[in-house]
Amino acid sequence: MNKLYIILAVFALALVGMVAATPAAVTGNIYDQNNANVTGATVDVTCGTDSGSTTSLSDGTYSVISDASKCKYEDPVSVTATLGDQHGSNTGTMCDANECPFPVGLVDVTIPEFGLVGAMIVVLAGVGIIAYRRKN
Amino acid sequence: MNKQLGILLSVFALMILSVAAVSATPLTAVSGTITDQNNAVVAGATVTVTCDGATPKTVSSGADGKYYAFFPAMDCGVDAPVTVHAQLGDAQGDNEGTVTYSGTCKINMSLVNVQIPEFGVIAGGIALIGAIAGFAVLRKKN
Repeated sequence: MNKLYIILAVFALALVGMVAATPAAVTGNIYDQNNANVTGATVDVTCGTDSGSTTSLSDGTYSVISDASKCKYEDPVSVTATLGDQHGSNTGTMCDANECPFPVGLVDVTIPEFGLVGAMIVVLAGVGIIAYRRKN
Repeated sequence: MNKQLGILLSVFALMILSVAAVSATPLTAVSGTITDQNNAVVAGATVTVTCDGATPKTVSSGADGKYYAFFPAMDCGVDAPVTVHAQLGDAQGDNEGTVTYSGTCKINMSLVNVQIPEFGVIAGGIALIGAIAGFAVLRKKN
């Protein structure tokens, strides 16, 4: 009889283990400096006390499904994307409970990260050179 | 001079436009609650979700009867048809839905609740009537 109880308890535990928990989703787009979609980038996500990794799809999107008990509403999210020797990163916040039925964070990443900043510096430098030449 | 300035301004405008391009919604979430014929939540049901051309997903309902399935938005976008089949033992049910964009959540969503057994009340009623009829016939015979 005792054996039966043990077997029942094991079954109950197995059932509890099978029951799915509420998820949390971190998702977004990976772009290059020309705003084109990046396929095949390695994407590392940290949200709350959880972390996960995936690869960007053919449309440049990625999604990491986590556990809502570790990656909660309004938790900070950081995402790093790598393709070859190019890196990019961005941060965000999970939505609040009024916005979504489960925690969702949308974080887009551009690789290389300073592409836009770099382009602006180049443009500014160009303008500076023209201004200097005109002055002389 | 004015022509040059005009060209410069249009180049800048184009750059700003390309940066401000609307990013695509990356993800579609299909979720819902599995209930039995008494409207009680069903935990541990096997839930199979199909959406358009996406590979079907099989998940389990949680302790609160809720299930969640995620698809890439490129395979399961806005207006895509969703079908959900839930099963627990012999009891099973189906329901359908459509994908819509959730402005607050910023991803695509589809809410599809399923009741198992789907025709529980009707089937139960038929079984009861059948049993009464059978009993009556047998009683008359004897």
